[in-house]
Amino acid sequence: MGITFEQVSYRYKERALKQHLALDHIDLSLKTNQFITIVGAPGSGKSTLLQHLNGLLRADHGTIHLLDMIISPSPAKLPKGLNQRVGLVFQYPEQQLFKETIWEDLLYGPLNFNMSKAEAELAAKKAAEFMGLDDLILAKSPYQLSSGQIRKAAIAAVLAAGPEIIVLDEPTASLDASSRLELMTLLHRQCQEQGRTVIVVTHALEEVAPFTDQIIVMDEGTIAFVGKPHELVNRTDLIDKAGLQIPAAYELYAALQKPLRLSKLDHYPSAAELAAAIKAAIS
Amino acid sequence: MPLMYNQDDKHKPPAIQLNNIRFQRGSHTVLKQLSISIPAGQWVAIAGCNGSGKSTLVRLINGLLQASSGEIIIHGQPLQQEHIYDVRSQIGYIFASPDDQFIGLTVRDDIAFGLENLCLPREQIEQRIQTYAEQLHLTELLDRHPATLSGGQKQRAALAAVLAMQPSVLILDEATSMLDSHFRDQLLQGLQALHVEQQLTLITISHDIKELSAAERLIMLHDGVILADGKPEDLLIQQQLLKACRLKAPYVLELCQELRLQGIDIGESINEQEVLNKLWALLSSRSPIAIKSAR
Repeated sequence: MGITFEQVSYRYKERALKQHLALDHIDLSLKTNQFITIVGAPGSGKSTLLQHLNGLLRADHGTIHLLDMIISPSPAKLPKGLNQRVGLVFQYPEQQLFKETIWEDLLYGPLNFNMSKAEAELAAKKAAEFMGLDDLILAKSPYQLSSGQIRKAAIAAVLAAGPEIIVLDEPTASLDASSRLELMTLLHRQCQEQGRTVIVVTHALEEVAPFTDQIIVMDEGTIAFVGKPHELVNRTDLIDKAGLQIPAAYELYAALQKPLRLSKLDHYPSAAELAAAIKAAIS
Repeated sequence: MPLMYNQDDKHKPPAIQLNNIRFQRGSHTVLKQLSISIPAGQWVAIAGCNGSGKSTLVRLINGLLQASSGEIIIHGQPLQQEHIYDVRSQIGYIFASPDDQFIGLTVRDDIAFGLENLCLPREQIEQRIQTYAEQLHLTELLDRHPATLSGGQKQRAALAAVLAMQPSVLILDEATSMLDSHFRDQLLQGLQALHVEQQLTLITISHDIKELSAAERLIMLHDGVILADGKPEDLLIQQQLLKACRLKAPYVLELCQELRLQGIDIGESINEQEVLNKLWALLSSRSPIAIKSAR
């Protein structure tokens, strides 16, 4: 089971001012249980692609195979259970919290997906713990939280419903740097320990590179690149067009590779790894 | 005792003066007896973890919030209800979430809104719209509804609307969080130019080391008090401060620290080129002094 887009196209219709082809005959095949990152310039179709994954937007043409489900263009019905199996965290998480307290928001998804009250409470509690939301925060209204806390609450609300695929649009915006690292580590754990698939749209390559299994670069509604993050480093054309910054780890490794005769890069080098390689080279 | 900023600019009149500011929200004291003086034309970055009081501090400065006690003076004028409008007209404020500040039905209308309120002639309004749309690469998007823009485009549109007002103080509250690195770099360069050429006083809140490094002065807040106040290059290499403000040590600093653990001491820096230069020097000399015994 994987995620496959076959010739998927989408054009915004309801917004008269946004009539370009947002997705242009996309063909894409992705494995599940991976940490997948989508990057691209503003307006390249990243968020539009994400919203097709849980049926929030419906393709004009083409088919999406998602796990064992098939999403066909309207008016075909959306597969049963799609909303539970694919959780979406919006770019502005405050848009998806609507209950009086965070705790009620966390319960809403599980109860809506027919869990018993005890099951829903357990799922909500686990998700809250996972995201580091204490009882004090759970008792508050979304309006009483800081932007970082709202983001964590929105992610916890999605996790509580137990999705197999978690889709996040710019999840680290407005989080402090340590929270960003924590969040990425937590999401990575969701892949490794829970077997979930995490799909993240971002422009902060530095934050996701250590965790990313596959990276997708979008360009004007098409897929310009699919591969591992270190394979993208030499594609300066794509990096420039997507407005990305090469992570310092890759830049430093590339600068030191020839003079220190370091091996060919095949993964994200941690600072400890690079320091050990430098030490070995100059000893 | 916090590290205090060495005020080279103390001869300049302060654009913003906060004296013993306290801000209480319910039973929680968000800011505790804070005193800060920001000279006109200075670029100050503010860092701190979520909930440390950063946004509260800047919202007090432009009068969106009212201090529980203490005094705020903007360009020599106490921030009081009777001249809050005058003060606000001098302070541009960009929110973290740009959706919070759109008013117009198109980007053009949105930039024009503030200018119309200043009662500027139509020609001047049009001229400023063109200037700032061009500067922020929005010319093609001027007739788009703000809701149809991507996150980064929205932030640039919001910024254009504020810059067009030509404020003397500009506050950016995590305003670059949605921008990709190219636009962020361009914005930082643009801000640098505005800051130098027009003596714009800048206050930027950020979690990004690169953005914090671009400022002349860095104030680190923790739990409503000033933890450190100094030059970014001096503060951002201190692990304890980074940890307290939940900032992630940049990779290059981590590398310096890992190298030291490996017995190679090249000092600490957040500048990649500086670190490379030190490593080159080490490689070319194979200096036994620089290489310390391994752990």
